[in-house]
Amino acid sequence: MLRKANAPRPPEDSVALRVVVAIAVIAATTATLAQGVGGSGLRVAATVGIAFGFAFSHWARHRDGYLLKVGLALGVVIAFASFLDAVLGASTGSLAEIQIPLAELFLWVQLLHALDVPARRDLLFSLLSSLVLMAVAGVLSISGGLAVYLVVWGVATASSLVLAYRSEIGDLPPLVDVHGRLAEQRSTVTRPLIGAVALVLLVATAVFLVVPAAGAGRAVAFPAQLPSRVPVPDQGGLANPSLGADDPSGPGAGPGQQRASFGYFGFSQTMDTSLRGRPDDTLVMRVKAARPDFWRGQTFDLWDGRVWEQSDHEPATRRGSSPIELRGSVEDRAILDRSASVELVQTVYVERPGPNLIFAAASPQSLYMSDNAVFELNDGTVRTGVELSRGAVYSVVSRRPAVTESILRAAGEGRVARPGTVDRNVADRYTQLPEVPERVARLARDVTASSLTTYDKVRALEAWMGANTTYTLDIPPLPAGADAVEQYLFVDKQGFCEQIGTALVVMLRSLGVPARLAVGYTPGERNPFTGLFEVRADDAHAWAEVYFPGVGWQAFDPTAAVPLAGEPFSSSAGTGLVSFLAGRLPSLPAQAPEVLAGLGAALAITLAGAGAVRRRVAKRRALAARTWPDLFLERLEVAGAERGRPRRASESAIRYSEALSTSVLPDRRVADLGHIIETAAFGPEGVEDRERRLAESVLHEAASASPTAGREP
Amino acid sequence: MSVRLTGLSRPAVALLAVVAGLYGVGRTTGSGWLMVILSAVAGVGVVAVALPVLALRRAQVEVSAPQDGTVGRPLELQLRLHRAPIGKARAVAPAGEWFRVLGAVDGPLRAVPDARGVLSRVSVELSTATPLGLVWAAARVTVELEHPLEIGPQPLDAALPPALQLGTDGDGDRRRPVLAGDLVRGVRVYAPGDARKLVDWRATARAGELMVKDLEGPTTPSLGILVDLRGPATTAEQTASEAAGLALRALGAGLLVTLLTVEREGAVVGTVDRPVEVGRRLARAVGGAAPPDGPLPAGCYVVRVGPSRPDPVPAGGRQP
Repeated sequence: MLRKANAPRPPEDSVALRVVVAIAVIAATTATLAQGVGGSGLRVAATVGIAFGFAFSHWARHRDGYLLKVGLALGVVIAFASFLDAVLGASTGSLAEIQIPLAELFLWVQLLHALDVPARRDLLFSLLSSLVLMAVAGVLSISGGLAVYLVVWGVATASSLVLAYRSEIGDLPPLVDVHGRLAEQRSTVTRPLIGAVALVLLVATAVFLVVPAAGAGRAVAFPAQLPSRVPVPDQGGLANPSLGADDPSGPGAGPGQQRASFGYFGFSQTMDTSLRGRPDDTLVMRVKAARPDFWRGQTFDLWDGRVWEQSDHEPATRRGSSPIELRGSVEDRAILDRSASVELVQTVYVERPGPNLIFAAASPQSLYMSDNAVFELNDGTVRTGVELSRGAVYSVVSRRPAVTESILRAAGEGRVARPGTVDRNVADRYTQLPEVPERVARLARDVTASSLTTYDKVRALEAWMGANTTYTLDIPPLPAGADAVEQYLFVDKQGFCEQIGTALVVMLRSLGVPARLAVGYTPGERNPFTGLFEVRADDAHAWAEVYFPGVGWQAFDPTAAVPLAGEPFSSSAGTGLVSFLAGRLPSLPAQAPEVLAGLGAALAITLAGAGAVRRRVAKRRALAARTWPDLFLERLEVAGAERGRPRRASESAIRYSEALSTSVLPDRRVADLGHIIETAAFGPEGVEDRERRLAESVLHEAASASPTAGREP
Repeated sequence: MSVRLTGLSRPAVALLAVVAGLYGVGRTTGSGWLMVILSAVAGVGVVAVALPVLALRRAQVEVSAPQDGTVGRPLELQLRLHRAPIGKARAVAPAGEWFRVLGAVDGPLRAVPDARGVLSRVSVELSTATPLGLVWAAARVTVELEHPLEIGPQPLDAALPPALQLGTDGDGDRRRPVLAGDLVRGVRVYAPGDARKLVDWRATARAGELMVKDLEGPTTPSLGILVDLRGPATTAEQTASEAAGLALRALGAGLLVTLLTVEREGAVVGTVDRPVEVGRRLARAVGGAAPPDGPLPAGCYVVRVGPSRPDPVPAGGRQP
C-alpha cells in the first residue's frame, strides 16, 4: 500500500504549467529574499537555481534520477542542520529569533525541490510550498512593497491551478465520434482564467473586509533588533538627533546642524509652547498593535505659563535580558496591581532616527529590545541607552485599566485623598500651577459649573474648546510675556495640539484635578495590508492625561478620539481599506467628475452600439445561412398564425397554403404558394427570381386584404 | 439537475491544512499580509466551490440511445452537451468509464451494460472542478429515452440438442434445412415464371394446357426454447445467457426458433428471426411465473432452459 502511494506519477509534459509554477515559486522566493532573508549566496542560488531547477526537471522528467534524489535528500539534511545550528545559537529562543533561519530553511528546501519536479503532483506540491514561502514573506514584511510580488504570485498560482486542472482532465480519453474525430470543442484558458482571477479578487476583498484583523490575539513573537549599537552621549538622558542643534543631548549638536524635517520639538526635556512649526509627513515608525492608541513618549508635569518641563532628572536603570521588566510610576503600579487591566502588545519598527524614547501605549510593563539596559523616569517614561536609528525594532507589552465612561464617572466618588497616600501625592505633584490668569480659572469654573464628576468636567472643557476655538497649524507667534493658555483661549482662539492640550491641563489643574501633558504620536493610519499603523512625523502630538483615583491616568484630547481600554474594540483585517486606497489615488482635477461621466457615457454608448451591430451581423449571417424556401415558408406561417391558423406539424407547405387560401387568406393564388415553396426547396432547378417575387407579392396582397384583429386593411 | 459536491482534490486538502496553520500564525504574529494572503486563499476556496456548481447548473444535457444492447458489450449513447464546463462525463446506468469534456460536445459516450433489461431512461454523470481543479462537483442527469433501450443477455456458448445437430461439409455448419421440399403435392396450371423443369408433361398432355408440378414447401426444423427465469437474479441472468446462446446457435444453423418467455404483461410465445430479436425478447423476459409451454409449431423440438441445465422437455412439440 505504501509502495502504491509513493509510486512515481507520470511525468508532466505541459511546458506552460511548468513555467507558471516556476514563476509563482520565483515570485515567492524573491518576496522572501526582499525581506532581508539570506546572504548573497542564497540570493543567487535561489533566484538562478530555481529557474534552472525547473528547466532541468522538465528535461529529466522521464528519468528515474535516483542519484539526484539522494543528493537532494543530503542537501535537505544539510539545510536542516544549518537551521538547527542557528536555533540552538539563538540567545533567547523566542520565535522572533528563529524567523529568519526558518525562512532560509524554506528557501533551501524550495530550491532543492525545484530540481526534482517531474510530475504534476510534484509541481502542485511546489506551488503549495510557494504559498508557505509567500506567507513567510508576509510575516516578515512590514511595508506595502510585498504587493507587487503577491500580485505576480497570485496570477501565476491561479494560472497554475487552471493549467493543472486542464492537464488532469486531458489524461482522460476523449469522446470520439464514429469517424474518429474528436467530438469536443477546444476551449481557451485565458477567458476562464481572467474570470476566475476577477472572482477570486472580489470574494477575497469581501473576506478581507470581515475577517478578524491579524494580531488581535496574543502575540507570541516579540521582534527586537538594533541595526547598530550607538550609545547616547548621556546614559539615562534624552537624546534626539532629529532636532539638530536643539538635540537635548547637547555635546554632539552643533549650531550648524539643521533640525530634520521630521523632528518634533516636544521630544525634548522641555517643551516651549511659543515655538511654531510642525514636522512634515515623513514616515517615522510603524507600529504593529491589535488596537489603536496614543503612542506616548514622555510626559511633562511642570508648567511655567509658557514652557513645560519634567521634574524627574534622575532616571532609574532597568537591566535584564529580554524582556526588560519596567516598573512604571507609583500610581500606575498601585492601580494595575488591584484592578482589571487590558494588555496590549506593540511592536515598533523605527523608520527614521529620532529620540531615544520608547513609544508605547500606557502603561509599558515589559520591553523586548536588543539591549540589556534602559532608563525609566518616575512617570513611566522609558529612555534607551542607545540611539534608535532606522531599522531598530522593539516590542512593548503595555497594560492599562479596563475603564469605561461609567467607571470614570464613578472614579473617586466619596474618596478623600489623605496625606501620604498615592492619590494625595499625585494631587500634590500634578495640580502644581504658576499664577494662572484669573479669566482662565474663571472660565474653567464657569464651563464645569454643572459638571458633578471629574470625567464630566473634562468633557465639558473639551466641548467648550471644540465650540469656541479653532484647530489650526498656522497661528501667530506668542507675544513676549504672554501666558500661552490665556493667549490661546481669549486672544488667538486658535491653536494646535500643544496649545489645546496645555489649556485643558491648566484649566483642570485650576479646578484641582491632577493632570499632565503627554507627548508622543497619535495612532497613525492603519495600513490594512500590513496591519501596521503607519506613524508619520506630523502625527506627533501632545494631549492631556487626567488622573482618576482608583483608575489611574487617562488620555483626553479634544482633537483626536482614541477608544478607552474597556470599550469593546473590533477590527477586521480590511478596516480602512477604502479610505487607505482612496488616499493613495492621485488627486483628481475639479472637472474630473464631468469628464469621467462623459467618458462613461461614451463607453456605454460604444458598448451598446457594438452590441447592436454584433447582434445585427449575427442575425444577418443566420438569415443568410437560411434559404429562400425556409424564409418564405416562415413568412407564410407567421401570416397564418397571426390570423388564427397556424401550421400543423403534419401539414406540408402545399396543404397549408391550400388551407389558408380557403380560410384566413381567401385568395385563390395563395394555394399555389405551397407548390412554389416545395419546388424551390426540392425541385431540381428551383424557381426563378421572378417567381419568388411574384409569390412574395401574392402573400403581401393577400395578407393586406385580410388584416389581423385590430389592424385596418 | 441536482448538483452535489463530491470531494476535495488532494491539492485542496493540502491547501486546507496549510491555511489552518497560516491562520494560527497570522493571529499570533499580527501579520497583516498573512491575512491578505489568507483572504485570497479564502476567495480561491469560494470560487473553487461555487464555480463548478454553477457551471453544472448551466449545463444542458441531451442523450439518445440505440434500441439494443448486450450485457458486457459496449454500446454508444449519443451525448450532446451545451454550455458544459470543462470536466468529465460518464454513463451511469448503464455504466461506463469517464471521458473528458472540453466544453460543448456532440459525441458517443460508451457504456457497458452489466445487467439485462429494458431501460426507458439512461443516466449520465457530469463532473467538474473547473476552473481551479480544487473541489469537484457532480451532477447526475437522467434522460427519458424516445424509445426503450433493450439490453439482452450476454450469449453463452451452447450446443444444439443432438437431434437437431447437422453434419458439416467441411466449411462449417450446413445451412441447408434437414428436410428439403421435393415432394409433389399436385399439379397446377402454368404461371409465368415457373421453372421449365417443373412442367409435368404427362399432366399437360392430359389437360391440354401447360401444367406444372406443385411441390411441397421446404420444411424447416423448429426449436422451441422455454426460458424459465424464476429464481435468484444471478441464476436468471445465467439462464437468459444460456437461452441466448442456444437461440443464436439455432438461428445460425438455420432453424426456426420460437422463444417461450414471460414478460411483464404475461406469457409470450413467438418466433425470432434475427439475433437482435433474440436479445430484445430476452431483455424483456422476467421471472416470477412459469413460462408457457405452447402453442408451438407442429414438430417443434422444445428445450427448457432454467435453473438446471438445459433439458429437453415434452411439450406441445416433438419429443426428443
